[in-house]
Amino acid sequence: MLLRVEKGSATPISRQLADQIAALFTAGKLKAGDRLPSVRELARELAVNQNTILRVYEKLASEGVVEMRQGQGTFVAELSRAGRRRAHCDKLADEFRSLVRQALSLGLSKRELQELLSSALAELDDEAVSPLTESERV
Amino acid sequence: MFAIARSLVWKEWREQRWKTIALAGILFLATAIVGGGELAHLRGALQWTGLTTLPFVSLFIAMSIAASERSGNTLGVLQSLPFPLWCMATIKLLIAVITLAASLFIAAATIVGFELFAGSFLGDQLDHRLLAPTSSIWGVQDSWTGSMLLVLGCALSMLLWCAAAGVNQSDEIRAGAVGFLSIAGIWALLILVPMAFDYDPHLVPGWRWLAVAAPGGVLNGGAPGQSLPKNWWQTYDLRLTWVVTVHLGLAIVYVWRFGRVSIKGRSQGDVTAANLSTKLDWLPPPRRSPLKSMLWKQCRESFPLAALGAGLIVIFVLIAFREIRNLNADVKLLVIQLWSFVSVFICLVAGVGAFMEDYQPGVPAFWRSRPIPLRRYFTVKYLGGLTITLVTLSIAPLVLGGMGTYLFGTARDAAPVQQTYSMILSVVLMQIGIYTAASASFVLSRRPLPTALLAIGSVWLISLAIGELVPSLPKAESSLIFLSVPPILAGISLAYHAFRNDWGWRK
Amino acid sequence: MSAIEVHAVTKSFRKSRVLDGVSFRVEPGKTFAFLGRNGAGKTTLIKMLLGLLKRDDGSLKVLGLDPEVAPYELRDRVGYLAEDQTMYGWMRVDEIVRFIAPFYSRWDHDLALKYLREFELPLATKIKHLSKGQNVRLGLVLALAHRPELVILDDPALGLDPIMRKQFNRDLVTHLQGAGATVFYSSHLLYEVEPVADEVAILHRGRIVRQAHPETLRADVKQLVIEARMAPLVPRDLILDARPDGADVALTVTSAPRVIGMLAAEGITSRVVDLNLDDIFEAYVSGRQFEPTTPTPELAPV
Repeated sequence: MLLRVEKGSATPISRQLADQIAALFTAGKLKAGDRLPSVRELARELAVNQNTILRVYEKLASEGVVEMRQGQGTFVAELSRAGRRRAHCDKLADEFRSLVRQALSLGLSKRELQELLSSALAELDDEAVSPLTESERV
Repeated sequence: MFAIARSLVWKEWREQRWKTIALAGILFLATAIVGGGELAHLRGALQWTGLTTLPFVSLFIAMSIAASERSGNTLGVLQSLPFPLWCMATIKLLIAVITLAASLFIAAATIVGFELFAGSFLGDQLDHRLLAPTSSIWGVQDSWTGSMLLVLGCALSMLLWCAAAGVNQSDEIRAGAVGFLSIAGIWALLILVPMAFDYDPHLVPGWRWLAVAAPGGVLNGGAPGQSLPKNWWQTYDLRLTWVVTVHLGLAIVYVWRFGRVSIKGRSQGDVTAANLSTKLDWLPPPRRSPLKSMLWKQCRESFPLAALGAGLIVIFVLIAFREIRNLNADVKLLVIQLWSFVSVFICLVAGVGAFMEDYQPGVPAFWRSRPIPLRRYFTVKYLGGLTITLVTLSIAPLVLGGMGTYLFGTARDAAPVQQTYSMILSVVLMQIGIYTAASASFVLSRRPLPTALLAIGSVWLISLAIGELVPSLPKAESSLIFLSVPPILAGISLAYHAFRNDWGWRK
Repeated sequence: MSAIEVHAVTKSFRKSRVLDGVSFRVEPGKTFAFLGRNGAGKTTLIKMLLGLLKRDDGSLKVLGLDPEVAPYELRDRVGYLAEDQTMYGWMRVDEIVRFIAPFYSRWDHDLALKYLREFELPLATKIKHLSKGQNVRLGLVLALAHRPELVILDDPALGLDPIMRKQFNRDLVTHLQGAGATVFYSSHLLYEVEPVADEVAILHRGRIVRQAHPETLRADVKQLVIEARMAPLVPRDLILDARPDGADVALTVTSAPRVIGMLAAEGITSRVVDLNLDDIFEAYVSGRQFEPTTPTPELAPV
C-alpha cells in the first residue's frame, strides 16, 4: 500500500491518509478482506505518530471502510453494494457542497450554477454517445 | 581593499587591546614589587621583570595568533573573504608585535614618567644603574633603552619562532606544544650536536651565528665588555642583519602558511559509516565506576602534555651534562633548576588544558546535563590533572638527580641538604600555585590567552609578595608553606565555585 | 502525575525578560513539540527543565522532581540531547559510550549497542570525524540507552538534511513513541513536527501563546476573506493577523467555526481558507493587527 504524506499542506495529515486509503479502495486497489499494515508498521513507514495512524483507522472504521479486529489487525471491510454506494454518495455530496460554496463566493447565481451542471451533464452524454466519432475526428 | 584591511586591523586590535593593557599592568606591578617600591630601582627592576615575563608571554601570544582562528571556528570566514590570507596574517603578526612592544613601552613610560615627576624632589639620588649588568650585548646594554630593546627583541624572537612552528594547529595548546617543542629542539640541537663531537660549542665555527638567530638568541650576541663606541656604525655588527633576516624569514613562513589548511568538515563519516558498520560486533563493557570513568578521561587529557614536559627536562639535563662534567657542579642543584624552569611552563599549560576539553563550545551542555556529580568531577579533574602533571614532571629529575650523584659523585661544593629540600619545596609549591591559578583562570575566562595572562599575573604578584615576606620571617620553610597555602586554597575554591555555578565571561 | 509541569515560570537575563510566566503541562507518553522562533526562550526553558539554569520565579516539576533540588536524580531518569550538541572530540564512539555509562543507574549497554548498530555508527571513529547526522545520532544513543522515562530534545533537526530529518522522525516514532516514553522536543520546523507530535505549544515573547493538538489547531485557526468594512464585526482578540487586500481583508482568526457562525448570523459570507501549520505559526508569532482604513459602517446594537 503506497501512501504519502505531503508536508506543509493545508490538509491535515490524518485526512490526507484517510482520503488516500479511501481512494485506493474506490479504485479497486484494495479488495475486501485485505489486511492493512499495522498501526506500528505504518507509523514507522511514514514517520508519522502512531496516534495519528490509529485515528485514521478509527475514522475509516466508523465510515465502514475498514474493520478493526481485536488482536488480528485492520482489514478492508466487506461492504454491501448499497453501503458502498452510500459512502460514495456522502463523499460526493461533500465535494458538491464545497464547490457550490466556492461558486457562490465567486458571485454566480443559483440559476447559473444549475446551467453549469446541466451543460456538464450534456457534455458527458455526448461523449458516451459518440466516442468513435470523437476519435475519428482527430 | 583598504577598507577590509582597516576592519581587519580593527578586529585584531579589539582582540588584543585588553591583553596589551593587562600585560602592561603585570609588568608594572611586578616591577614595583621587585623594585621594593623604591623609585630608584624601578628601571633596573623593569629590565628584569621584562626579561622574565615578556618572552614567556610572547609564547602565549604566538599560540593565539597561530591557532585561535581555527580553534574558534572563524578561519572559514577569513578564508571566504575577498582578501588575501597573507595580508590578514601580516596584520595579525603586526598587531601581536605591537601588543608586546606597546605593553613594554607603557610600563617603561610610566616608570620614566614617575621619575620625571619625582626627580624634581629626589635630584641626584636616582640610581640608573642596571640591576643585573652581565655581558654587554650588541654594545647596547649599558644604556637602559638599549637593554629594553633587547628584552623586546628576545620576546619577538620567541614569538616568531613559536608562531611559525605552531601555525595552523587545531587549537592553542597544540600550537603552543609544537612551538615550544621546536624551540627546545633548536636549543638542544645547538648544544647537543657540538657536544656529541666533544666540542665546546663556542669554539665551533659559525656556532655563534646560529645561536644568535636561535629563539631568544639575541641575548647571546656581542662580545663581552664592549661598550657603545662613538661611531658605532663603523663597527656595525653584521650579525644584526643576519638575525633580522632570519626572523623576517620566520615571519614570512608564518604569513605564508597561515590559513592554508582545509578545514575538515564532518562529512567523511558518512562515507566510512557503511564500511565500518560491519565491524560493529563488540562493544567493550562500560567503565566500572563513575570515578574510574572520570580518572580515565583525565589521564587521557593530562598525560601527553606532562610527558612532553618530562621529555624536555631530560633534554635540558643532557644539554647541561657537559657543564656538569667540566665544572663539577652540583648535579642536584642543576636538575632542580632545570626542573623548575620547564615545570613553570608545563604547569601553566597543563592548568589551562585541565578544563579546556570540558569548556569547548557546546560541550558544557553535554556533561552538565548528565547525572555527573559536579563536586567529584571537579575534584577528579583538578587533583587528577595536578597529580599526573606533577608526578610525570618529577620522574625525570628524580632519576637524573639520583643517577647524577651516582655518576659524578658528590660535587665539590654541593649545596647543603637543607637548602636542596627548601628549593624542592618551593618548586613544588610553585607548580601547584601555577596549575591552580591557570585552571581557575581558565574556568573563569574559558580562553587560553587571557587565562595565561591572568595566571602569570596573579602567580607573579603573589609569589613576589611571598618572596618579599619570607626572608623577614624566622622559619623560612614553614613560613613559605604557611604563606603560599592560603592563596592556593583560595584559587581552588574560586575554581570550584565557578565550575559548579557556571560562572564565566564567555558562555 | 504529569511528566512535566511548568507553572508561571519567569526568567530574565540582565534586563531582558526571556520567559514571562510560562505555564504548560506534558502528559506521560505524549510527544510534545515546543515551537518558537530562534531566541524565543526555548533553550532557556529546556535548560531549566534539567536544572542547568535557575528560574527567577514560578514552579517547575519534571517527573515529580524539582530540577533545582534534585538535579542528579532527575538527570538519571531523563535523556537529553542539547541543541547542536558537541561532545569530546578526541574520544572515539565506543570510548564515549563506555565513559558515560557508569554515571547512569539504569544504563543498558546492550541497548546502547543495538542503537549503535541501528544507527550505523562506526565504533572506532573519533567523534570529531563524525558527520553532523552521525553526531546527532550518537547524542541520541547517549540520551536513550538508559531507558529514560522522559526524553528532552533541543532542536534535534537543526542542521540535518531532509533525508536525515525524515530518518530522525522515524527513529522518534519507532524508538521513543514505540517504547512509551514521553518526548519533549523543540523545533522551528513546523512541518517536520506535525506528523509526529501529539501536542504543540507555541512560545512567543516569553509566553505560551497556544497549546493544542496540531489537527485541533488547524481546525481552529483559519483565514477568512471578508470585506474590509465588515472586519470590525470580528472580535479583536480572536484576530491573529490581518492583511488588507483592496476592498477585502484576509483575517487569520482563532475559534474559526464560531467566527464563521457569527458572520453568517450577520448575513455575511466569508471565503474560508485552510492554513498549514507554518501559516498558523506565522500568524501567532508575527501577526499584524487590523488597522481600519475605511470608515466602518454604523452597526445596529445587538
